[in-house]
Amino acid sequence: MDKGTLFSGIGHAGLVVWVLIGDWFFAPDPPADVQVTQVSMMTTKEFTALQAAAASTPKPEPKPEPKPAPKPEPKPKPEPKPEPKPEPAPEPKPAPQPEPAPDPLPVAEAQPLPSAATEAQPLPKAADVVAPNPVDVPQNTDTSETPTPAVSDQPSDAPPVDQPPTPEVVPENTGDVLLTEANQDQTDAVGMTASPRPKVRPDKPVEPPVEEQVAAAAPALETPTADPAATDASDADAIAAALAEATADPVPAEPVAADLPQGPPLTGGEMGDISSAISRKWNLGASSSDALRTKVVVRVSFAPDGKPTGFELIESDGPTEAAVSNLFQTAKRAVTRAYSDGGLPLPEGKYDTWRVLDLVFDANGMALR
Amino acid sequence: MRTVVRTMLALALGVSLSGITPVLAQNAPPRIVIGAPVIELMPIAVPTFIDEGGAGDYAAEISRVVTSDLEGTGFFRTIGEDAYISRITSFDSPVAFEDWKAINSQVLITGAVSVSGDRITVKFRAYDVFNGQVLEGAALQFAGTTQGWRRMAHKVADVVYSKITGEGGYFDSRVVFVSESGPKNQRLKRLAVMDYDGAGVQYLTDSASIVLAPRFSPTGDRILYTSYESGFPRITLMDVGSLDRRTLEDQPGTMTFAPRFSPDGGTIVFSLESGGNTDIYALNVGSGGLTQLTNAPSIETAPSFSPDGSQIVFESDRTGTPQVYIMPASGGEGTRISSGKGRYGTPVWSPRGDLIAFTKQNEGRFHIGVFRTDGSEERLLTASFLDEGPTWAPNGRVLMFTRETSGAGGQSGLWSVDVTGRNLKQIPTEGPASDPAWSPLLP
Repeated sequence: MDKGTLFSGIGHAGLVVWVLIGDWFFAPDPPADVQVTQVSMMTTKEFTALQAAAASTPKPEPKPEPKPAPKPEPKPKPEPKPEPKPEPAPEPKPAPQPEPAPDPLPVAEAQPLPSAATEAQPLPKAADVVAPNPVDVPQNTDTSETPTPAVSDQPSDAPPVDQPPTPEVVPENTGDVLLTEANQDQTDAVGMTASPRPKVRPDKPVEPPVEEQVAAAAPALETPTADPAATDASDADAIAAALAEATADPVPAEPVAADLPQGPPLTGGEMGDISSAISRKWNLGASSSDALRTKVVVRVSFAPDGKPTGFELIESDGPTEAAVSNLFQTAKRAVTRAYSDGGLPLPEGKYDTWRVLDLVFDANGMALR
Repeated sequence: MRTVVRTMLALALGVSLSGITPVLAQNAPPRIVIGAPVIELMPIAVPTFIDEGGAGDYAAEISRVVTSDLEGTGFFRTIGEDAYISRITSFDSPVAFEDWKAINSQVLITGAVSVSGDRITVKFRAYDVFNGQVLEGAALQFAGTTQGWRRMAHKVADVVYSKITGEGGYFDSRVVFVSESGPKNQRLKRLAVMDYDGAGVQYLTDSASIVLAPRFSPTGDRILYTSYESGFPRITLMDVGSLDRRTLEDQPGTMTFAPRFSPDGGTIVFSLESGGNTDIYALNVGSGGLTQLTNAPSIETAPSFSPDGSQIVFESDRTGTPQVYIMPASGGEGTRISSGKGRYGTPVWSPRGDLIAFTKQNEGRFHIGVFRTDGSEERLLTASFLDEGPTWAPNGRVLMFTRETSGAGGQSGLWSVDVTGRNLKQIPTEGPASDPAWSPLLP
């Protein structure tokens, strides 16, 4: 059992015992002496008379100040406040004054509104063009949405077609760059070769040579062994190698899925890093205006290597179901993109704390309408 | 002493118990609030659709229209084909998602076109690249005549747009407008319809008489407009399929204008001028019964129904300047909702019901703006010499309107803007154009 838990349990038990049986060890305090104050009774009339007498008593002269205080600067006379402007009454308006005409007011060419004039306006000369052929009526169109035969949601299982590869794009050599303290190689002479802080996520496993694979000490993550006999044969070497490695290097071997480190809870900084990494990939540029008034909470499961493996919508608050669905999709896309574009900053050694996360995507602040 | 000890004990116990709470709460996963998102164009890839037989140029043209539709929303940025790492050579081949991730394509749209006789079939899939799967409901097939290939492209774009954004599409729709020609002082006008993007213009009337303010019916098969064919403005109803038309409410000595259908298509509201006074009336399309909805000495005009048909927003100058009011569909005095400086006119209720678009004139500038149905949260989307007459896209996300440039050579044209005020652009037309009215999404 964890020592901390043990000490905490003992401490709590002691506290509880102390509360329960503390009376046996501590004699009750003697009651405090009662303080006695003499009071006298008076009638309402007497009280009123006393108050009247107190009111008529002249106030004592204020004590002369030891030094005459310097006269304060005369305060500037307050500017007469402007009369508050009357609230513009919505209607009726006092005097219907025409708005200033735009400059220039497109009166002549504006859409001719019907006027009260009874004279018919001269009709423009008819054009030579006569009414054309009838227009396609929408409901008569032959176009139709055809659910059957529907297109399969997935491509066929056929092997991928060889596709003409595009020539590899080689990064252009931009020439020498200035060597600075920031970008020179770190050596013992210069300083540390790696940050003392734990890495945010485990390194991608490097495929060892075949002969090393047999003797690999750390078991593969969640990978069932295909050939138990072969595994048994290599167990001894593997254990020996693991022991040797553990002796040589105090860094623990990569944990198996069943015994992943719990670690302390995620710190605020770690959660901020995760939030920031996902938000950079959370694109609402193509979202509905309803989605921009929506909030979803998505429960995301992660594999030990940080790959998101499952998404579940556990809470939502939005004007429409479509908006919720839309925001959920953007959330999924954001997490997946964040993983694909360099990985999420999930702290190594705390897998059990981030194997499932509830991520809150609140688009309300982005509402545009 | 005992009291002090007890108090300390209680505090200690409380503190220790409060420390237990997080331990108990550890059953719930850590909750992390994700920071502010980014707002940027979504990169998508639309490789040229595969020709699965006889498609010829249709495959490339349909791909181009789909790309144009999506890019035109201001939400997406298509990645050029020269950046592709792998090619789509077969519609059913597995997708190498890693190649598309590498160029940061968040959505990949693949498609195939086949033509047999005058029949064309278009099928497509839209992939969420980073999740490695097809967007739900975004694997469909459309079939029709080759004549309607643009509509099929629009339909593909509509599905993709709605699956990604969560909003309805608006690409497979039409716009009726007034096509103008001739000098400014003797402008000839005729009705025309086009795709929402300005393509496929067809003319409905000749230029023999002035036509104004066309409006689609809720089913898109009829058009209301104001015609000066008789010398006076008269509401005219046209059947789009046959081009048959008839004049409504042809009472001598009156003028009728600014018509608009109710959401169920059973009623037409319009303005009727008689004896120098203009009020709003409702005409039952079936029975021909006429009902007066307003009764004021001022000019009441430009009525527009709410999507549920229960209310009407309209324009009135009863306070001296044109302002926007709302009244029940059964009529009444109405409640003023516009409160800013300037003149407000041509209010139009959003098909989603949450906003009202309007024309505003203030300090010599014209604006297209929107506010909520109580007049709050007014937001001006445009500003120019002359902007007027907004019309909503079927999804309530985009507005189209008339913009006229100043000067003797000023031209009127059709423009559109996102309801957020972004993505302002001109709709290409053959010549000057005005008075656009958006149709519902086509079936």
